[in-house]
Amino acid sequence: MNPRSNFRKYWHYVRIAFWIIVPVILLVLPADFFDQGQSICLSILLFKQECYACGLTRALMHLIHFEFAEAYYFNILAFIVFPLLAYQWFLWFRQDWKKLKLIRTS
Amino acid sequence: MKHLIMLAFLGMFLTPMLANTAAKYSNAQLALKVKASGLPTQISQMSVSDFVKITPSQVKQITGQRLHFKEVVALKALQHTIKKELAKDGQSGNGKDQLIAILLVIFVGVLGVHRFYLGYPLIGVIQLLTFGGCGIWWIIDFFRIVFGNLKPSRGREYESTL
Repeated sequence: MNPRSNFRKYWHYVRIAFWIIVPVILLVLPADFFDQGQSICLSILLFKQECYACGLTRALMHLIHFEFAEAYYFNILAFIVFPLLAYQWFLWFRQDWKKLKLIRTS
Repeated sequence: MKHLIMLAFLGMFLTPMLANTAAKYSNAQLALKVKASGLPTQISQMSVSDFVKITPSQVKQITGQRLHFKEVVALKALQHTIKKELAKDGQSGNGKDQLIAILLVIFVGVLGVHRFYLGYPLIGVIQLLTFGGCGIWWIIDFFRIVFGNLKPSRGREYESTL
């Protein structure tokens, strides 16, 4: 195995670890972890006006902890975004998994 | 059709008048609204500016009990209406910054966005359709905003200038 494919193999390992670890960390953190603090949304910083995506982080954080009322409070669109994001997350994971398998068999 | 046009004109003149007479919130009014919404009365002790920012988790910390879904919906709706009325009242969120106007006129001035921001929607639409008055009006607007000649509509001043 040449060093180039070796590097690619480890790169896919890191990516797969990322897809698994990030949801676990978010689940371990308390649900109101992102509730306080300064917003970084340009719409709020410049125009003092909430955009449609404002509150999605907080809402998703509450949603994965099964706090549906709070999720609704922060952003109702979380109920649409969460299934889509979860599916996309799974696709990313599967993509890296397949590539890693290909490298290992070759 | 005639009536519709008349109504539109009436609306244009009446809205600013109504906005000036919109009620300012006192704690007693807030308590009444909180009670009417079926929310725990402990949260009406705080000031209005604190109330519009309070989250369900903080309510739980104050009252010691978790809000039901219905109550969360009521809390969100009440905060939304109070925020809207405060904005109408000119107490918050009505200020325009000169820096923002300059940034807008530089980057999206060709589409007349700075005019929408400053509160001139009709001129904004005209500039949008003519690509900033064939580019000439855009340059004029840029210098007018930089030198503070072009101000927010209805004689208002910039909240912060350069």
